[in-house]
Amino acid sequence: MELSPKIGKEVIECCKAGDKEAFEAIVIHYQKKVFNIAYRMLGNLEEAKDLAQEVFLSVFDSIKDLREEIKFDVWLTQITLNHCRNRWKYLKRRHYFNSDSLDDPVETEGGNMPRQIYDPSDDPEASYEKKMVQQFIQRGLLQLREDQRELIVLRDLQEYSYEEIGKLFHLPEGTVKSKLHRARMDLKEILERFVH
Amino acid sequence: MECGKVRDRFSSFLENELDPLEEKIVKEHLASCSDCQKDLQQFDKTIRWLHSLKEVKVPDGFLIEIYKKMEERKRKVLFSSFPLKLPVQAVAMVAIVFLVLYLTKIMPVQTPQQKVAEHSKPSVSAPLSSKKQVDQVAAQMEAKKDRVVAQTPPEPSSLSKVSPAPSETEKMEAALAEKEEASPAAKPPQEIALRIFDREKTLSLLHELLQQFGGKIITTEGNIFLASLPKATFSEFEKELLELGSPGKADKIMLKKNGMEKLDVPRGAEQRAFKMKRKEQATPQTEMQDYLLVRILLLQE
Repeated sequence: MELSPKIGKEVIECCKAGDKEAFEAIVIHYQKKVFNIAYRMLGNLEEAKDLAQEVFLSVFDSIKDLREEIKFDVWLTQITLNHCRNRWKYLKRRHYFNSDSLDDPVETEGGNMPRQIYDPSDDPEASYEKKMVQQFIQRGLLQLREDQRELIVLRDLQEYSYEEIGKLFHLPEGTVKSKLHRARMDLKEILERFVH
Repeated sequence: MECGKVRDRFSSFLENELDPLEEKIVKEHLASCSDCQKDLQQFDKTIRWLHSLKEVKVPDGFLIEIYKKMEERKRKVLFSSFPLKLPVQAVAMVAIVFLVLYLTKIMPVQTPQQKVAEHSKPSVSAPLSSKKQVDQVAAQMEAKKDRVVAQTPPEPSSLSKVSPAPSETEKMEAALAEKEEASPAAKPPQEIALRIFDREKTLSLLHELLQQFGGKIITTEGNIFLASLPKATFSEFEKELLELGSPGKADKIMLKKNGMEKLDVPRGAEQRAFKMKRKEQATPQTEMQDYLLVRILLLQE
């Protein structure tokens, strides 16, 4: 998760000074990551898009307050996770996730998939299997505790290093590893419950 | 190694982070424990599934929508800074205006001119309020006169003989006049005080006189009579009434309560001045009404 050579300190400084081109460069560089974290955390493409846009608006508003010692991408991830937490609470208060019954279709990039409970690896068709895995895992992720979901999304999906995760959550690497292992084990059990 | 401890090391085992000794122990346990072996397979599958998840594509127009949201926010800020504040200020102003109007209606600010105008209106309450003052004056005069009478034997009253008394009366009248000057609104329409010897006789004569001039007694309270009289006949009535005062016609005392006259002024001149003033006072009232209110005070000797 190193800064791309395209986004250097100069771009960040220009963005701090209110340069819109620098801001656009930042959006283009980080939009995929922010949008994907949001989607995996919320399980809804429309909510993820709206949230990711809100994240960049927050960046534009508050980048001038960014301290030198904090790396921009760590700061951006913190903003993204904060937005996700708030949105999760907001949607939960409105019983958004309560209506998510086992028969409801799951929204994926390839469209809404029927919610069928079986092991996707059993499916002979590879493309269909991929879609089923997407749906299967996403449902499992949404069943996890929020902090566990964050760890899995950052480490297993976004490939953050243990060190970066440790910095984000202010935890030692060993603690991050054990917590992540617990989250993976819980997800495994959730997915097993789906199948059986 | 127990199953639990082996399962706690699945992540490290799969990521090759175990030291060689631990790795060897875990492998030996897995070889002998089918449950842990099965569990590891399922765990590995979960991790592989997670790693197989592809990133979703960012929707088209993502950046343009950010700019649209920025503009929307600016509009909202403008809207909230002006159009929302203006109605609040307008409502506050209207509320203040209504409050001020309401308060001024409840507690009208009385200017001196308004006060004079209000008090100068002829009303029934004004004579009534001054009636108490007249009562007090009459009582005081009676008391003081008694003292004077004790010093000088009673004789048919004459102006010269009463002369010591007027000095007392004069003070009272002056005080009363001062008082009334301070509150001109308390002035009754007309007041006449008569010094009398025979109350009954004077009363019957008063009634006759009133009948003669088309007037009548409205209220009686002791020796104070409030009578109404046609204005046109007032001056004649006043003349006649003053003559009722005493047989010698010299001991009549008139209390002109507007305090303009002094008793040391020659009596004839005083009466003329008094009558002229009466006329001046009566003139505006004549224009307004046909009857005059006359307060008659009888002072028993």
